[in-house]
Amino acid sequence: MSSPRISKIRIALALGALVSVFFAPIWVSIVLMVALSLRFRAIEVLFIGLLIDLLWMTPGTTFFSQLPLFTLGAIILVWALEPLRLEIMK
Amino acid sequence: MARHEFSYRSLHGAPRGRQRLLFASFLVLVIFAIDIASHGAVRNAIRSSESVLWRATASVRETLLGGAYFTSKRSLATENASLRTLVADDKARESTYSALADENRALREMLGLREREAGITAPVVSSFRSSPYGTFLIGASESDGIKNGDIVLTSQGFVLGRVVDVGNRTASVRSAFASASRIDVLISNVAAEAEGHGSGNARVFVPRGIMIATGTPVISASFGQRPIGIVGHVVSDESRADQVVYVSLPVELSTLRYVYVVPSNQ
Repeated sequence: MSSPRISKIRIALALGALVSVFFAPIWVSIVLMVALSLRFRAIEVLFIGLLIDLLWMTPGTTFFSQLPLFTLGAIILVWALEPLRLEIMK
Repeated sequence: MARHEFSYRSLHGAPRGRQRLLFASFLVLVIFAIDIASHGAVRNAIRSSESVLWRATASVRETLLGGAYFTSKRSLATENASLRTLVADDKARESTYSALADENRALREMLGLREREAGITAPVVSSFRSSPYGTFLIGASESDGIKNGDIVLTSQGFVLGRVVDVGNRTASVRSAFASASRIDVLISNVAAEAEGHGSGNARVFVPRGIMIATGTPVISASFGQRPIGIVGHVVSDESRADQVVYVSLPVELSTLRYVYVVPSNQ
């Protein structure tokens, strides 16, 4: 888990996700967030989700349009994948 | 072999990693709450940073997207051969000249639009395709006279969207054809509702008997009877009572560098 090679992969994925928030189509960010969450207990996924919402979300008129979907989605993602991740990390 | 049973309820005494994850989950919610309580102070700071980052990387993006990387294989080979002979200074000068020429052309077009409608020319300071909410940022703010509800146009006068959030240095614009948006339109004097599909595309259902030609402008009353796109393709099926009209903006969004913002009451 904490080997230098694994850390490099994690840093690369996190940096890729961060850059994609600003420059790439949203599906790139989503794929990288899922990849990070699958393999690592990646708290950075939460902050990337928050960044997407703060950067792109605008005040909405309906209840659902006011929800920070990517922040909530990131929280669900990192916690929902915890059992699977524990199996992978064994 | 004893099997480890996972339980979310066993966080008491859980490894530090899970406690850190729990703390981070609360932290992001707290940051979001702070942003709401401070009327967008956090998002304003982030959007200003995005604006600076977007401008700082303009020449790199120009080289990557407008250069040889995405052209055909043959032209790539030719380009590669010629690039080998170029010195670094020449490349930099050419890139700068190209960027300035594009900017000059865009500003000239804006000048033509300005003569017809009073408004503000603003640079686009974010990507059009990165936002999951169908939004993009422009480099103009309240101090420039931008208000919520202002209409954002291309240099040809087509509606891009509406200003929905004005910050300190940037304003957020929601695309007229954002995904899942619905907008009343007029095509060949037929009133209909357009469903936004993102990236400047929409779909409209109109009765099958009506003749609609490709290239017909699509008008929207909610944007001051301005054109919001043109008919790109019509699919008519005899087994259905309606035909599907695909509407798109006649501009390549990724190449847009400036937009024109007009007050909503115009």
